[in-house]
Amino acid sequence: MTELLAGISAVADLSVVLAVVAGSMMGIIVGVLPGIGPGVAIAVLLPLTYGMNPLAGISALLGIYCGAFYGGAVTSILIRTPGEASSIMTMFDGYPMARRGEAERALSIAFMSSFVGGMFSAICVALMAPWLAQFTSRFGATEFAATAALALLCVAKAYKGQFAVSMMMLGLGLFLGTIGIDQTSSEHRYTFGLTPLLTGVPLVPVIIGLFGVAQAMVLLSTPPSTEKPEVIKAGINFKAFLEPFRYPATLAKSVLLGTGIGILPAVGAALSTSLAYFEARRTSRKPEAFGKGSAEGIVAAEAANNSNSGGAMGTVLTLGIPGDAVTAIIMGVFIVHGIYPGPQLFIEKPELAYGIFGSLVSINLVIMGLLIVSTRYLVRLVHVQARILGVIIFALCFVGAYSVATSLYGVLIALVFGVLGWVCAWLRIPVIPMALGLVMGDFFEASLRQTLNISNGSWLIFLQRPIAACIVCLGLVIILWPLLKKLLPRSKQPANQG
Amino acid sequence: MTGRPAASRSWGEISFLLALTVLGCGLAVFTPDLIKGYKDDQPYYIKSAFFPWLALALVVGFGAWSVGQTLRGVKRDLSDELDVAQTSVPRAMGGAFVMALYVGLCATFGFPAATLIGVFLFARVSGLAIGTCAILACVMTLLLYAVFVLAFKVWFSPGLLIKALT
Repeated sequence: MTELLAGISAVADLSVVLAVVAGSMMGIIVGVLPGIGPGVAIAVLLPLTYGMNPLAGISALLGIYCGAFYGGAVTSILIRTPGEASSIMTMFDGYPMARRGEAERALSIAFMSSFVGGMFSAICVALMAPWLAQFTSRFGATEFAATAALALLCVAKAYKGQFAVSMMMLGLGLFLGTIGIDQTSSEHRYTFGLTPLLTGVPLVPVIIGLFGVAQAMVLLSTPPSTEKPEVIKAGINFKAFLEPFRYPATLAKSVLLGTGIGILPAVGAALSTSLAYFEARRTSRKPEAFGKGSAEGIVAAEAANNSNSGGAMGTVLTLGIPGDAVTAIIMGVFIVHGIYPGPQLFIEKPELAYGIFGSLVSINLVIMGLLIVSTRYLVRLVHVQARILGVIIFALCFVGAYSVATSLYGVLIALVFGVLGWVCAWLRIPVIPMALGLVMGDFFEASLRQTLNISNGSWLIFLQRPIAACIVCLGLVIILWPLLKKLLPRSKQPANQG
Repeated sequence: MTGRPAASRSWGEISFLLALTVLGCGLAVFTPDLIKGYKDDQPYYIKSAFFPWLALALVVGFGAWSVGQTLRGVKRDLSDELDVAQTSVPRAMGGAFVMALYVGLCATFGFPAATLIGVFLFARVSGLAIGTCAILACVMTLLLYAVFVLAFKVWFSPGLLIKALT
């Protein structure tokens, strides 16, 4: 409890407050702007946090992360263009409602549902995190190596029908992480005599390249829309703010689903929103209204969407394992600030660990306040030309990659990985597994080598320790699931499914 | 992350996957030579090549699997991380070229002049009108200079040319 209070008081620091407000505002804008996701924004703006204290820097980026969830609803509802896959379900009911002339109502329902989801998940995970951290504090190198392997496997499995390619990209990321001086033997691996490579492939320029430069290349080369933009007038409807509470069961189920799925690595918000949406439709008194502007549909999708953020941060903080690209980038920020997430964080720096949850709660409050005063002006941003955004992102990527080590080497790395990211996008090969492999490579290698050192090279150690054995079994089930599904007797499908 | 509907693979995809697989294979074979001070007389898990080999095994193994799937005509779902379907390849490549040029300009003329020219060129490559490009270049240069150089104290070299002239 003392640590929790210390965390909350850490958030009251002026630098953290300013970071929360600036990050939240930026996140909302990023969410509203078409074509830019939180990943791009965080990657590009990451260098701005170098001069800040760790909690302020992380809070600013969390503000962008959460703000983008709220802002994403605006484009889904008003112009039927979800910025993120997780906002698609909001579009199904938000857009028809807006077409009926109830844009303000749709936005207000979406914002309040997001708010409830965000607050619930942040508080829930903050209360659960100490227990989880206590449990994971019993982990040794073996359990951490098994957990890292399981998380990476989940990432590859998340790309349905692309498992082989994802594993290949994951391997590439893990390999890139080995470049530089080996921490155990001090031998120079794959440096080709180049001094900059001694410290390894720099993470931040790679992330800026893969997510920022590649996105800028796409935006820059997107032809302008020939359709005349519809003039949108929308703000906040205070009466509609209370509407989500007319569906308490849907709201509760959706936030629980969102938080639970957010905790799982690599599953992502898109799955939680679709599960929550279809569950709400299945149990609704008016299922026929779904897809035609149902308030309950918006409540389910948005509550589940925003409750992911707390769950995802719980996994990063207690296990040190990022679940998706955005949390991988945020984990990169921790590392840049010399902080290694994991159970030790709650023992060594409790004020920071709990401060992050405190800032998550305050971010949701700040975003809500900002949305109330700025929505009617923000909606104009949905028509900003993609080409102009591309130019701005290119320039920000240049300065961001340069600022990492005040060297043009960082910019060249960002450019190389930007082109690689664009080529992969062109060939429709996922790059997120590569980024996660690079982020987790060091941790995975250190844990694995330490484990094998303890066991004198025997891999059976993974089956001799109970927790590690459970994790290995879970991994095997995930790998063999397609085969197991065929072997298991089929249950009867409900006739009216779908 | 479920991907778009499956589509047949192009030769570009096959070439890319094959190139990565062959590169991975080559790196795995020559790893002892590519590690400075490599010691071979150690248990496998202590060798500094252990983890890179493990990573490269994933690249080669799953790369070969992907190439095999492609050649057999097995369809796979496609990644939807970035939508490039409606973009222009020359413009995208032009953007990357301008970024490389921006690096050279920054080293030669210093940050403000390089940003002015770089942003103008980015905007031209995107197809914006000259007037819009000029306004965007001026605004972006002022903003970036104010935020990064003045507020965040990011140091930029004055540029080789400026150094030579002064």
